[in-house]
Amino acid sequence: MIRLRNNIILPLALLSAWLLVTKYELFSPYLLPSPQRTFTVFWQLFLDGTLTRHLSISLLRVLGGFFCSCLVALPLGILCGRSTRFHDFFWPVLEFLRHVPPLAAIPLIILWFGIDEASKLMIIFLASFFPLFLNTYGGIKNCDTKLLEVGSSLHFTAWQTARYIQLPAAVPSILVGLQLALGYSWRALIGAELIAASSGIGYMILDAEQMSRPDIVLVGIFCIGILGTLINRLFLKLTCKLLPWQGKAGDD
Amino acid sequence: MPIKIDALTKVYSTAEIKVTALAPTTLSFADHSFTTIVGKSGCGKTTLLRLLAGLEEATNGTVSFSTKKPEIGFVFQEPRLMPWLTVAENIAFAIRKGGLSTEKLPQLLDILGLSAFARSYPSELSGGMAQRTALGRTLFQNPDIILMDEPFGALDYFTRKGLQETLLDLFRLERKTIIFVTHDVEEAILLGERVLIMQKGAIIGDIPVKLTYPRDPAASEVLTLRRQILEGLESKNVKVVDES
Repeated sequence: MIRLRNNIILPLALLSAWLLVTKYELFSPYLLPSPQRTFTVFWQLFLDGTLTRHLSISLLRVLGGFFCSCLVALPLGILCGRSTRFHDFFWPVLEFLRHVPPLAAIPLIILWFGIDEASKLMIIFLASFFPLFLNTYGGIKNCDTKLLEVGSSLHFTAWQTARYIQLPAAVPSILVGLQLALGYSWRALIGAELIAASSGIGYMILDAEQMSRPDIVLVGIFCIGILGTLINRLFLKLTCKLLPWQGKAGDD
Repeated sequence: MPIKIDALTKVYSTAEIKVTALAPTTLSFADHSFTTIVGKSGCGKTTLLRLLAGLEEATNGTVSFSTKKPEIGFVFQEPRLMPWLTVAENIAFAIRKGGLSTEKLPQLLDILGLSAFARSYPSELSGGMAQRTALGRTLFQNPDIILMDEPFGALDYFTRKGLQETLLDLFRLERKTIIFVTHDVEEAILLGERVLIMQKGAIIGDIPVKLTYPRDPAASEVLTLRRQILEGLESKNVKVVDES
């Protein structure tokens, strides 16, 4: 209860400040619309289906890109963590790509993949690949050698060691990677939609800016923030289910 | 003789120095015997055990067994439990390599006093319970030879005593070949049928302990042996009685 109270103090203070600033018109309503106005616009966009349409398109793009990223980053991270040969083969190229921000590659991506869904999926893929790959790789690579030795003492094969020791030991790290990758996907999507799209929440914001509608821009920003928070919460709940052994303390 | 080591040597080399962890050692361990190895820290007793388990490669020498490929179980100094598995799953961990069944798991949990904690995770266990789980994991493997590397070293007196009793009960029941490393002289005498004394990478004493179980730490025979071993650890004047 105390935590909930602490959680809502700052948002309420900011909302109050926003109300006061707009009530006394310290900024022009064309630059900063009031909370009431923003909520009315939100409700209108929700009722006519515009908001749901843009949000669902963006969400599908995020999930699609994130899924593709999982398909490549997870096995590659495991292989590089397990095998020095794989690591040495892939590392120079991956290290180079890691330092190139996905937004810097947008012109080339548009040139190669056009402005359809493929380019957006590619941007999301690039943005979410590295957090997931690096966390998977790190989780496998940094597996406690003492646990690996238990496998050796039981005469486990390389496959059994990977399957029953390294992979489960890497799960917490992989989940952190998934969580980060999801957040990065969302940010990259908005970037991609702001540049080349005819639908999605990023496009809705850009379109509103061109139509001088800061209220719609604010609705878009709030939706992104709230949806991102909800997805993260959902993910944390899932993490608790998958890692029941974590956070349990014993009395020695 | 199920285990015979011949001129077994381990040297750790770096660019600057060479450290002989185990000087050339020739020794054998009888079938169904309980041998304890005692010595100061860094004297090479863990190295000897790890070489026997195949966890390290010898610089020289050989280890041979009477049976072609005996099942060897290893109990480490720390429990080394898989944090994502429950007590029961940790004990049955060896099932993953195949050829074992969970049939004897309830009995094992019962013997080790862990039935009530079967579904607990390692983070919820005390040090003693965790080490009992580790012992259970090795016993579940049903090994011919059990190698134990100071398994009770980090435990308090009462927990250690309880685990020593459990181990002796299991030894009398199943008569596995046990090689038990410890730095505690009293523990070595109370458990072993034979005590090997190690110093600076060499076996300097081999003392048979012909006392019945359970042994009283205050008994005069135990105290005499204790004095003899302690003198041996201080100097090299121990009479070697190699029964092999």
